[in-house]
Amino acid sequence: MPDSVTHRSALLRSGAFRLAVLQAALFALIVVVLSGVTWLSVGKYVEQRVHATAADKLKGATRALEAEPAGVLTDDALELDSAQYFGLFDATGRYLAGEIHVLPTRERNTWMRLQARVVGPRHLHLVLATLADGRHLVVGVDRLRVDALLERLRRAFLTAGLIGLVAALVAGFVTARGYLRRVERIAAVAAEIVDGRLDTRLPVSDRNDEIDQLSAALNATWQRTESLLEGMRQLSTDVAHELRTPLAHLRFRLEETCASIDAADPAHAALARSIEDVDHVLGIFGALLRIAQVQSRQRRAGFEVLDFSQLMGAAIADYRPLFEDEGRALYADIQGGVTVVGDRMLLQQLLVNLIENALRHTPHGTSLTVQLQRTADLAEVNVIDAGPGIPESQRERALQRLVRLEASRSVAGAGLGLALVKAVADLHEASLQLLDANPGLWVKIRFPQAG
Amino acid sequence: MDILVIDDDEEMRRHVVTSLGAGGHEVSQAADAAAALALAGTKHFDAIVLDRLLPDGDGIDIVRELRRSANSTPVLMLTAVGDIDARVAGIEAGADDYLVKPFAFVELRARLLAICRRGARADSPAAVLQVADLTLDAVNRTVRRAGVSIALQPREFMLLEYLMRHCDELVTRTMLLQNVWKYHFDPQTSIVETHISRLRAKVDRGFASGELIETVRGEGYLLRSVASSRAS
Repeated sequence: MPDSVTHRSALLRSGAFRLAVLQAALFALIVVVLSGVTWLSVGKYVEQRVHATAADKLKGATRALEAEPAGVLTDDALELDSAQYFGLFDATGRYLAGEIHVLPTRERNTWMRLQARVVGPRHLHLVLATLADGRHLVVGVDRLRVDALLERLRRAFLTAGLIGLVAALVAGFVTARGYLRRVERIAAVAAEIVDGRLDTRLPVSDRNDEIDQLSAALNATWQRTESLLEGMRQLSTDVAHELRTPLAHLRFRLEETCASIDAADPAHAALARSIEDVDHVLGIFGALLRIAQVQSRQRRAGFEVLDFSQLMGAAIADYRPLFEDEGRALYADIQGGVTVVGDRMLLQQLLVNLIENALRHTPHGTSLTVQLQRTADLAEVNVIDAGPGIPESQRERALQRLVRLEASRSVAGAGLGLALVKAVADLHEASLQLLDANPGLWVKIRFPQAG
Repeated sequence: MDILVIDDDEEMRRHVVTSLGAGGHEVSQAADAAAALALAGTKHFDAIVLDRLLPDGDGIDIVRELRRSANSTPVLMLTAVGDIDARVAGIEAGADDYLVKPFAFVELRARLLAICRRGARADSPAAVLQVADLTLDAVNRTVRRAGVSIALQPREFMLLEYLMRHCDELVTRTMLLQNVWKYHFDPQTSIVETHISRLRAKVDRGFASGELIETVRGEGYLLRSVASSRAS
């Protein structure tokens, strides 16, 4: 039931449906106006014809009566056919002869019960005339055929209108649907591109209609974006390579020199520190490249269903001794069997970065709590330390690259740990929040759960 | 050992050749793919050090070419491209290990020796490992030393197993991270050191036969088949 309701409301909301209804309403309006005008003019014309016939007959009957005032009063004598009736009344309006026995006050269309010959009321168009001797003559023309004609006309209009309306609705829906499906395809392709499949393109047909023109323009835009991004990536790789080569030479020369001099020489220690510095530079470089790679979203191709509980359990088991050595407690509350779709290596690094972030930036003796639980259809990770925390005003900045907050300046690092966590979370369409644990930092990450 | 070093970067090649030569190895060198394949086709080498980016081609294609011609010489691939996918591509093409430039020479030497040993070892790894009086049963996941059963955490067990399988070889911190932890990144804390020290406390302290796990300062760790002289 909820399914069909959502389905119906989706249909009602769909542009195709609204366009079709609009088109059908417009069509219906045209049909109503057209039929109305036709019906009115046909009706008026028929009315005129009836009136003309009645007037003709009245004129003939009047002539016949005046020529022979005391003649036999029959339909034939008065030149009336079977669907035409008369009534004759004296000057005071008293009935004298004929099927019509009530004298109307004026000419009109009326339902009338006729005398003798006809049973039941007939719908008559009445015309009346006053003869030279003061008698009143009424002639009625049966409207049966006229009414039948008008009724048939009405039915024909109604049927044609209904069929046309349905046809307009269907046709409108089909054309609108066809168009909107192409629009939907554009949206779908755009979403794929946002997802990192940069080489996706829209089909362009030979018709070269508006949608084709739009598609071609979008394809060109995406082509340009792709080549720009590819250029950037190529540049990063090139820069990485170009920088690595001299750094590698530098490192080797330092290593060679270091190995060739006595360990007691103060130069030996200085060289060893220089090697560490080179390694530090390379470490930052590697981390930056990795964040850039994660942000390019190309790793989504290697996503698989992972046992997140197991991955987290392993990371905690690996780091527990480090906490114990510092006299700190590591509390773990991990719900079993929580799965996510993702990249194993990157999620492993995300967890390690979060744990190491706490290990390095919170004082000895403080505890760390790591939780994993399934909430609704999300896998929720909470990493809560008992350190100084991050002031609210600086939390946004803490997730940026190369940002090292004032409080952590004393600790070695490049400020890339949380930036990578953020990039990995984004890649997995997970939400990341930095909250206050009063005191301490509370990192909450919600992953969409697999299956 | 006979080693072929292929790299178009002259300074890099000179350094690797000199350092390996100083270690008593016979070293041949090539600066491009064509020369490398010609050399590899005429002479047997115990190991090949191969740079991925060459003026006339991709190192990966050289490995494929070698493997296609049934040449199973262990290949250590070098690269300036550090991303994980590149590593996977190298291994899939048939390289035995992958090292990102720049690297410490000890790292290169340790990995080179490790892949050469791997080639010399039996295909199916032994289920029960024995080093001195230390026994590790990889199937039943038990460890005994001098007849005493020792309980290890899962990661400690994996660490010990790796060290025992590479007994008498130097293993570097990065090798342990990659092979025992499956971490393809550099943790910022002393996770390896901490676990080694835990492992030592359990399997190496208080045994009359001496200490088996040795720390090689600035280089890595070594599990010796003959315990060091300074028994505790």
